[in-house]
Amino acid sequence: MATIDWIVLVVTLFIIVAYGMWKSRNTKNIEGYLLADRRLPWYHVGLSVMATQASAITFLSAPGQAYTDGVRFVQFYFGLPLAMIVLCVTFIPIFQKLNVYTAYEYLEKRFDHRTRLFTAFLFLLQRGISTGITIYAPAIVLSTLLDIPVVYTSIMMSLLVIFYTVYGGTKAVSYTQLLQMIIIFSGLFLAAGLIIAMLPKEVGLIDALKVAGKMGKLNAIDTTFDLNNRYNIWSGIIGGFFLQLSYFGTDQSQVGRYLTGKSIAQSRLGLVMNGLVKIPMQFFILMIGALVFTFYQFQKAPLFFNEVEIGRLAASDKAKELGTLQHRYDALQNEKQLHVTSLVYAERKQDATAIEGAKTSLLRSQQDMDSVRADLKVLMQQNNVLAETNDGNYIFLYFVMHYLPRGVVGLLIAIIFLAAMGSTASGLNSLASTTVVDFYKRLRPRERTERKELSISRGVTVVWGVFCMVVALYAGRMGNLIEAVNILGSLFYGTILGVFLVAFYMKRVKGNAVLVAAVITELFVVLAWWMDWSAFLWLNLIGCVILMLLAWLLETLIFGRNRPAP
Amino acid sequence: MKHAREPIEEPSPILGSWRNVYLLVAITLVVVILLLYLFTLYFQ
Repeated sequence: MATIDWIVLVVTLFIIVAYGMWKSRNTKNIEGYLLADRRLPWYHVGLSVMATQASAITFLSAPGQAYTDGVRFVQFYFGLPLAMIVLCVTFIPIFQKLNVYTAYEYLEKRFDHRTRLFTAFLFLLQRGISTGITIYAPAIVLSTLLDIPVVYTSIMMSLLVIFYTVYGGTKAVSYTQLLQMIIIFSGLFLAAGLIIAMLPKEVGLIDALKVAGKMGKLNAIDTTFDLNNRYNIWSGIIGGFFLQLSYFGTDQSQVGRYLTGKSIAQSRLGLVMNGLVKIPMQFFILMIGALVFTFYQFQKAPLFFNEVEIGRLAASDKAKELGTLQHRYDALQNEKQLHVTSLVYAERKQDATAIEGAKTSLLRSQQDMDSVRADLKVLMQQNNVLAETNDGNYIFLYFVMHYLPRGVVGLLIAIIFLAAMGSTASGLNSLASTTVVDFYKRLRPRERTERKELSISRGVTVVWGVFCMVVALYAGRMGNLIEAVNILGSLFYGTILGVFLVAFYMKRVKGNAVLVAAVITELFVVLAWWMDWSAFLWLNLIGCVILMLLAWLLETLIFGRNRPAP
Repeated sequence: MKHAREPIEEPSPILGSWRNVYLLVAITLVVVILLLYLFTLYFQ
């Protein structure tokens, strides 16, 4: 990276971190540390909610996802606006009126302390692992920049985020997220503009998009109903609704964001903003990946996007085989570029026969190239069984580093770091809130000074930071990170959401029934995922519905039988 | 220490009522899905 890029990167990060620390300098108690004194306006709440969900993974993995699988991942977010409406109507008024720090406090008021602790435990498990994965994404970037193993950069990144969260707390997170989102959007628009400008002169944007479309990358909507198809409109609206409702309604990393609103109206408006903006924003990020794919139809793409991993192979005794694969790949790319040009001209002439012919040849070339890449991955594993053979998370990073102008590279790398810090800090903060409020203070209730409580919260933040760092060291084996995080969430969210929906809407059901139902449901969901019975998004719906039915049955047939009628 | 706090319930500052705000969110979702569907068909 050039000197100007390092300057842009360091100055941008310094301004953001210093601003957050300055805004949070007066934090003196746990309410300020965990909930920013509940004084934030709607636009802070909205941007903070969006920045918490949009981690570095979003900017690294999502374009990679679109590059390999097309933009159909956008359907994953279709349930989100509907979930925002339900949250505004039901969840926000209840949490705000009860004046809780965490969502799980409500469960003790409604059921009992065991249900509260069990649900909080599921959250801690899921969020702790997810936050570790979130740390891994910027560690990849740092590893590429500094050319050192990702293990060391994971540790460096963890320490930076722990420091920032411990000293800033929620206020630093929320205030910096406002600036972060402004920089993030500016940088992404700039990147999109530059990709379009770098297409060959004779190829317009529409021509390029038509090529991407013919290669199946602009598959935004899939209307077929198939339980095993990960992303289609039905899994997005129904499964996605339950996932998003659970994420925003019961995951403390998000509940903690909108509890910072200074009134119910301000919290609601923040979520409404998220409901309106999220899908277009995510589509835009995915389109950047599709544009990068299009760019590589006219330029030579590398055989493998993870330069550290391919460098290891080149330095090994497999270098000769690697050379043969590279030669085959280059020949196929030359062939493919001829088919791409034919397709562009056929499209311009609207010659259906020529379009179909060029498309078939193009797809065949792409298949042959994919086959060479598959051979490469086998070779990598023969050389090192622990080699990271999934390079999807490196595609956008490679493009940024090799094709964008000086200065812009630094800005985009800063964006990835900022996104990582925002979402990881929110994650750590929520882990600390839940541990302190739902476990420590609940299980060891006694009078403590505000200063003491603040110190405990900071100490717990450090402990969770270390846990997440350990997870980050193993995150490289989890494939595409954005999918890994969402699959992990789907394993727990259905059960947690079910507990909350029983609490809100099934007043007759009491603590014993819901706790037993929650344990059984969680085991069933994990089994369903392990046996691959359905695509992961449906697990949210399945978990939630099974828990509600089971809780009702248990209450009716067993636990509630001897209870006198109210 | 948790302070006693009366939540401030305010009417929607935009569109007259919360119901209209939620309607706006739902209609926007339908329009976005429709646009993405047309986008998919056009470039397929």
